[in-house]
Amino acid sequence: MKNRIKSQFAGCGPVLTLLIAFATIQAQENMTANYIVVKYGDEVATQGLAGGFLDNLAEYLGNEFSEFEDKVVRGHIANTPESAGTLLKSTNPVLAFVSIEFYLDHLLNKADMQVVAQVPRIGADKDRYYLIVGKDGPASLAELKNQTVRTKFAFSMPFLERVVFPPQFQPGEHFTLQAAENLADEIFLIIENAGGGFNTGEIGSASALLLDEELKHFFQEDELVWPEMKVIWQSDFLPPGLVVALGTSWNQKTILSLLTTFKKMQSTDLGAEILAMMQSPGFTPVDRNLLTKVTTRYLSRKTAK
Amino acid sequence: MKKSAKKSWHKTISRYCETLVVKRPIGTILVAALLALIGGYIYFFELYIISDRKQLISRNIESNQRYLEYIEEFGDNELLILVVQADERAPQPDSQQRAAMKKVADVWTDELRKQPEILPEVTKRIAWNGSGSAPLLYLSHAELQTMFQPILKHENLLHKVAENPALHNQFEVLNMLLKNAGNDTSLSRATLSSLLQALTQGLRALNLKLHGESNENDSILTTLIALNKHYDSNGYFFSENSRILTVYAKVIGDATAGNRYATALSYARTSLQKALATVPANMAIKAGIAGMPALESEELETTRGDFTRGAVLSLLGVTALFVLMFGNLVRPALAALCLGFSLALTFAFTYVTVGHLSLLAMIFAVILIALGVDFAIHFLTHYEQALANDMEPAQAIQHTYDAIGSALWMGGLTTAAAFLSASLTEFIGLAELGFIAGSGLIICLLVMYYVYPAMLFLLDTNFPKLRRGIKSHKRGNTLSDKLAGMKTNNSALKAFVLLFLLLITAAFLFGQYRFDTNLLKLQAVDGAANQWQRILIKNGDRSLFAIGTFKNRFDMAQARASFAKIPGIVHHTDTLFPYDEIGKRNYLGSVCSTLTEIKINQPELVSIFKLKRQVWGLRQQLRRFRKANAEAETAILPLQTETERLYKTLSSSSAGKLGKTVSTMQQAFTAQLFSARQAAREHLCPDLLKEESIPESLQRTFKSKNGQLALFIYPKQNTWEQESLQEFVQSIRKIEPNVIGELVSLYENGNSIIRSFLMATLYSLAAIILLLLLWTRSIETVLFSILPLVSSVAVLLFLMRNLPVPIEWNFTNFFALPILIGIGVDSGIHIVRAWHFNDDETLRSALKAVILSTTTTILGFGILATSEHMGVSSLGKVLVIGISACLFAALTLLPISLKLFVKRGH
Repeated sequence: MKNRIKSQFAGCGPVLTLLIAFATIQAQENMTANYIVVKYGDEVATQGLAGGFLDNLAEYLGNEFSEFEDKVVRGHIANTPESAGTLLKSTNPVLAFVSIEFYLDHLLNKADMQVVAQVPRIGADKDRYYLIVGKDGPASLAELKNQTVRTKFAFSMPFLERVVFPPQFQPGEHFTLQAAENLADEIFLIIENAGGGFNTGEIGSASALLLDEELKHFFQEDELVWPEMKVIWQSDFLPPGLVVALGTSWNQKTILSLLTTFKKMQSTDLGAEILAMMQSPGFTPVDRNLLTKVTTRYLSRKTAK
Repeated sequence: MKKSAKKSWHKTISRYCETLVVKRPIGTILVAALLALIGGYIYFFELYIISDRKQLISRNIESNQRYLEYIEEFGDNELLILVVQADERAPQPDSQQRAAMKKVADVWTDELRKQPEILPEVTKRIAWNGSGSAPLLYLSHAELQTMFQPILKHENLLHKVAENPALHNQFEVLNMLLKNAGNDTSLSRATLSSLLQALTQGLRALNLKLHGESNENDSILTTLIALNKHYDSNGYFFSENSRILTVYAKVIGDATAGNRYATALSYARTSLQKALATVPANMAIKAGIAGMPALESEELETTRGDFTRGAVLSLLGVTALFVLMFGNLVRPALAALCLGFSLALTFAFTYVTVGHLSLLAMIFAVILIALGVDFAIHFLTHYEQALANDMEPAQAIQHTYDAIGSALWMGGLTTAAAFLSASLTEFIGLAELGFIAGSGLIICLLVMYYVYPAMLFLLDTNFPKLRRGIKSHKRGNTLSDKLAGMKTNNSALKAFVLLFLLLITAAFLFGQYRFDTNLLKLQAVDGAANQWQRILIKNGDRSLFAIGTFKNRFDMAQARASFAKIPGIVHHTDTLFPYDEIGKRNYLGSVCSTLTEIKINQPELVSIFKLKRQVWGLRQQLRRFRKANAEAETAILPLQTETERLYKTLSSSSAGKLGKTVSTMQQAFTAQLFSARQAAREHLCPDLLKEESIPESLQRTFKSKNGQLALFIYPKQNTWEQESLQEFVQSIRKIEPNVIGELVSLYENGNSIIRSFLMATLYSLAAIILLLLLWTRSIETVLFSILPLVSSVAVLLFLMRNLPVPIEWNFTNFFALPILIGIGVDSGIHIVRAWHFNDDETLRSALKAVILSTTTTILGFGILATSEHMGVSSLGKVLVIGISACLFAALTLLPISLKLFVKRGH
């Protein structure tokens, strides 16, 4: 009898090993809280350059948010739609710090998703897109007909089409929209008014540049750039960056607790340091009206298209 | 029977002294004065002080013997080290500062070489004959990697530059390099910082050139290539962080001088002032002198100053206190004169017996003043009491001899025995000090016992008016009266004693037992040599190392390979031959082929537009970096400023004029590329190293007259700290058991000194107990006599650890223990002896004498606590705490215990 039991258990050996291994992996996964940050077209939004920021934010969340107390918090960052999509799948994040375009394109349809807070930055509690040209360039969006407009190296075309530009001035129809390898170089070419390609075989300069709120602020601060440029068009207001909770682990209480954690950032040394890096005065509750308005526009124009 | 025999023995001595003092006072004083004059002459003209530590250490330690043999064969390694430091605020010295640092080294070296009789050899750099990669072979693998890895890593960028050496293309490459660097997480902060600094420097040079303010042909990329600052192509010794440049000078000490290195050091310092005057002040170059001879010389000066100042102040302070206590000037002044006699006689005795004084033995003067005056106080207290009781001077002297003569001798002899027992220890410095201090105390006792009473007798016989000032003690108005007449409840007393004993036990359990062997912590904090030695340590000290000697190259290579396997212990090793020569030649070979295969074209025609576009790109990239990383702000700002300036220059100047300048620069840079490739062929494609091509200075250092080879083993950790030193010596001994050198000597001699101090403590305790037993024949009396001492040691140990600023035992203050043992028992003896007289007056006088004598001792040693030398200062502090605790126990615990357990008069 004993031998029979022994042999039965012997057969179970490999299965048990696998089960234990699986349980261990599960336990490890449960011990980690991943979050992602998505900033399309931002050259410094890489794991190498933004490593310090991601670590600080992870440390802050680990210290201040009770749900993450016993977990290893890890941050990941992406600056293109492709890498952001990959991160979303591979890291299974519980939190996402994203732009409105990524939210609309990738998170809107997710079942377990809740928008927790928004992150106003660089002195504005709402975002916008801007078209800038050289100071002697076209005067309006209408004058850009059949011209070339360049923007940051990664962006969401559906978002620009449905939310940012009015129906009568659609990129690809009214003007050509291209990704710029180096926006600073584009500005140099515009300032130098060197649209002819200088007989070097290079692509000529663009007629206008499409900038988001942050890029506009960056160039606006440059004394050699802004006096040489002018803004010819600006989009309607858009929500700033959003914090989205993902997955089934959230409930009303933990969402509120997370919002409180964000709200009190300015009162801690580490939190204040993070906000300074983000150039933000602090996280605020979401402007639901604006978000609904933009979401509705995104969805309705999708149907229209 | 025995008791009566003892009494008659005492009486005989007392009678003899009385006869000498009363019948021949002038003769006694004259003989003493004459001998003191001889002693004074000897001190000022004959006695010399040895400062060489090697003469104070034990010859019996094997490694010391081997080290002395090594010095005989290879020459002494005690070197003065010139430390030249660039401004600490900048991340790294730039090329102008490096040139200025070298200039200081050159001038100092030239000046020192003018005095070969005291500074026979000065080494500022290793001068290699001809070209070749030999110097590179002496760098470590890690250093070679730091130097050449960026070249190998960015080979594609080098090709791109060589393909078109035009300035705009250089900037394009630079932009790519910066972009890569920003994304490269493997790059350390230091490397990035060096990169930014080199770029700033390059752009500054470019700006100057474009403004016609400079004719130098440095390009941005040649500046980048020179990123590794540790390696100096001229062979100067830069530290690994490149912040420090060192020059080494052998120095010959003058054995006959009090401070053997003083002349050489003074000359070296004057020369340094001359050298520093040759570089502009805005270079922010500082320099100073470190190394063992400088430390030794400075320590000698500080200690000598401290001891002389301490001795004089002690003498004045103790005498002043004496005057205050006794309310008259003449008798204390005579005691001070007797102290002077004692000191002079001890110098004479030292000259005859030991022949010299040492740095450590100089402390005896303070000991003698602090303790010698106690004999006078005890004598004078009882003598004045006798005069106050209307005795004649002769009777008073007789009465004093009878009352305290034996206690005075016993107290003095036990204290002297405590010091003399130190002469049995292996550490020569301590043995000599013990012998001199012990003998000096006996001499002082003799002077105070014969000469001082003779002076008092003469005084009070010839000037009877002076006696009128002396008044008898009134009961109940002084602390000693209160203590003598103390009436207490028996059970409360027992509880108090028990509690006190418990506290003593606790103090022993939680006391200070750690020993700090860091010699640098003993030196004066603001000593120049000490400060520069610390700077040297902070920047990777190469002045301290262990040495292994080998008969052949094979054995040495094997040992070397073993040392390389313990990188946590051994930083690196140096010898005549480079380590892993073949491995390094292979590595350099790969660098060589990479560089020599680069194809160099002529640059494109100058395009100011393209150049401006690349500079604009760089400018925006820097702005983005600063935005993204607040920490980088300071590092990037200077580079950003230079970039802005360049961009504005390109935007505002006339294209034709600029084009010409840039064209010249491009041509010069292309020529530089060609010569760099040629240099790479010559320097990086190594030939086999031959012994005869190795510079003579290296041969002299690492090869003896008899062909023995020396291997220098450098520690990884700061070996001024005991734990690191112990780990280092013990670990390297597992590989090479016969290692020697300064570090091994520090370790062995440190252990020897600690052993010696411990033995001295035990010997003195044993000697005191033995003497007391012989004197009293009563274990009970011995135990009571040493009670204040035992409790004071416990309190001292406890306080040393638990004070707001704890004090650790070190090589200097450890000597406080034998001193404390010698002094501590003295108070006990006097009080116990007085207790045995069934006479309140004697007890009162004894207590008064104990209070007065201990107070003067505290003052005497307390002066040392204000010394500049941290070791001497801590010795003073430990003694003040210990003796104060001893006094407290002698006035509280001892009388209470005596009252409880010993019947008066027994």
